[in-house]
Amino acid sequence: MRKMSEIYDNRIRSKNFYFETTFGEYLQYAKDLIQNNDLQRKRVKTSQTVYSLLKTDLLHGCVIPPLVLAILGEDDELKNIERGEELQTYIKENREKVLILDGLQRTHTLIAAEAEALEQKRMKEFYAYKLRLEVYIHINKFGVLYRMLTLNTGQTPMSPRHQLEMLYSDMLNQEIEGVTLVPEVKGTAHADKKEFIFKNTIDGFNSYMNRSELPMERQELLENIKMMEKMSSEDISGDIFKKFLEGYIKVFDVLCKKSKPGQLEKERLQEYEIQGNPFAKKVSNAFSTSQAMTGFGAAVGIMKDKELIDGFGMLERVVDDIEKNNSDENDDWFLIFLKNMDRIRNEAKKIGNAQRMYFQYFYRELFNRESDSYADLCQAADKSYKMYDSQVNGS
Amino acid sequence: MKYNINESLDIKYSEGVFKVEERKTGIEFLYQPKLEFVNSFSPDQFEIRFLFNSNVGVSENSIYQLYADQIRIGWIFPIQSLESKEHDYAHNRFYLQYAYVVLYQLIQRMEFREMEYADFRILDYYPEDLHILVYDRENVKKIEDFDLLNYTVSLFAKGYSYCGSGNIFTTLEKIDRHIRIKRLPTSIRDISYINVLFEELIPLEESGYSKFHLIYQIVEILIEPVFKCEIKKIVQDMAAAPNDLFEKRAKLNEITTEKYRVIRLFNNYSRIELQKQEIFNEFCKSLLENNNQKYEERDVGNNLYAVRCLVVHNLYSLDTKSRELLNDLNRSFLDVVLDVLFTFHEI
Repeated sequence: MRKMSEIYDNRIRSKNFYFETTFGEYLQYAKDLIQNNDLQRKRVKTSQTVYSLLKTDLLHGCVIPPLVLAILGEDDELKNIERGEELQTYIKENREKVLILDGLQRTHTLIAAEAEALEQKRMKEFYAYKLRLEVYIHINKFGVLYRMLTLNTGQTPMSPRHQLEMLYSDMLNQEIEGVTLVPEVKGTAHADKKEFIFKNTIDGFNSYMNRSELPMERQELLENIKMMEKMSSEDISGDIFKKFLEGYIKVFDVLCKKSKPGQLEKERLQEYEIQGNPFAKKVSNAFSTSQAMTGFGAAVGIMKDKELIDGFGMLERVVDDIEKNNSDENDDWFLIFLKNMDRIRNEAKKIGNAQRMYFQYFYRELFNRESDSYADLCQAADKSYKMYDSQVNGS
Repeated sequence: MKYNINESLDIKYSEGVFKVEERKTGIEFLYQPKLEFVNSFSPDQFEIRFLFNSNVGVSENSIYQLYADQIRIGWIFPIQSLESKEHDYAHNRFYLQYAYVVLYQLIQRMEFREMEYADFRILDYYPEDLHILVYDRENVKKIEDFDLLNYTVSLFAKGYSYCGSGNIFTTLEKIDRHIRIKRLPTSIRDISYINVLFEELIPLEESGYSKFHLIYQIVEILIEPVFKCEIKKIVQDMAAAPNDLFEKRAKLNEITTEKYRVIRLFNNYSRIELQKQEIFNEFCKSLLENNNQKYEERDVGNNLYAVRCLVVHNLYSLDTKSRELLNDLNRSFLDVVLDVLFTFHEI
């Protein structure tokens, strides 16, 4: 592996190396890079796509655009690396830290071509073909994500939502501000025991980045562009996902505190004419859902864009005001909230999306100092439904 | 709306995941829907149909069991409900059985293209406002000569249509958890053009003039059996009492007029809900008055025929107000015609 150049990326504050290597050298660790992360997307499996043509071309030694790798985190050992061979050794020994930012499908195809070269008994020739690699070192997760999105404009881009999930997968089962992020397996997340489903938190963060509470499940280039615009205004030095989570946990805690512990009684639900199954019977359950977190993410993002807040930092003050303005262990606001959720369930064309929108308005009412509902749970629950209704039904 | 079955697909469902492979191209992908379906039915034992219903109040929760002539034959639900856990039936075993069948058949009808399937959603392939009717072929055997087309008018009366945006024109009765559909009365059941009108034409948004003509076609169709009945009665009368021939000739002349048969259709051959009839009559009167035409205070059949003459012969003279009135009249007309269809009886 021969180093060709070294440039500092001022935007994401990371060093970028440019190497010339061979198919053989790259394939020594490429399979591990793919297997590193089980959240990484499945290969587009097809026999008649461009990848199959590419495979044939690779067998004949075609030149492909550089593959882009990133070595995550700070490691002093990396600071002393000057030569290509040293970096190659480092990658081989620290495969778990290496991510493919651009060229995942090409790597898959290269591996498939290797198997065919083996069949054709042309290994020596195949392994000697040249390949270009770019490697980012000392890059933080936000930088990785930003680069992934700016690079990933190919024919089959991964959705930002999926990339976020993959990138932050090391936070699974980790504790942040007393909350543990657990995988989405039935029955594993107990909101009362301070467990959040990892996927829900990613949904919420994705909504923050996109300024939209809607689930971003379809990959559209537009999404990437919109998201990149928002990201470009973020401070790259900190971990925004962590800040997002810390902010949410503060809000979650105060909402739980301002409601009665335990499940709502049947009589109370009847009193508010809530039919059928309520959205949740406890504040902790309602506010640990994907809907609640996407609504929160979108609300904070939108308010930040409108300069109504300056970021997650201001939540501390909002939480203090919620604490002061509302009595403890009072269920009224939550019952108003559930009553509105009940109406949404009966009327919405897309219930999940409508619930997300209602949550979004709820937080916006609650966090906006210029609103009459600021830090007032009952008013926020009530007025946010009116906002939702006027948005959806124009009434 | 038609989607053809893609014959080269292998679809398997286990542990909440569909594994789909297209033999032709080698494309395969895994799809984990949000709902945990119950795959106890064999999908090829069921038929599905695509319907539309964009009425106010129709929601993701518009999930209904479907009864035809008192027999439970299947379900109608919005396609949205297949990709949501938020509705009331997300854990209902019976719904999940049918939902599995529907999702399986929807996948069967998909055209594959090269794309990333990690974020696959069935709604990327089908319109979001679609409703699916699914019925069990075994269950419908209990109904003599079952043909879903015979229920087109009834489905329309409940808000559903095969094209357009559903029945967004008439007042709809509130549906509880069951939709009960019925065939038209025996004497007019075999007039297939009635179904064609409701299947392909009436649900579409048209100009007021076209809409009126389309709805009036039902009246045209129904005055035919009215004529036959009336003739039969005259023949019977003549056989029983062959005197008063002049009077009978005058009667014969009368029944050959369209106006007479329309009046008879409304007054004697059907039972229209009084309120609907009065509302429709008011619209007819307003339109006729606005165009200086004569009308009868309470004879809805007479007034409808006068409106028909106005629209057919004096279309050019209708002013803006009349054109707006015609649109309102059409909605009411359709309301009334549905009553006429379902209560039509020979005398």
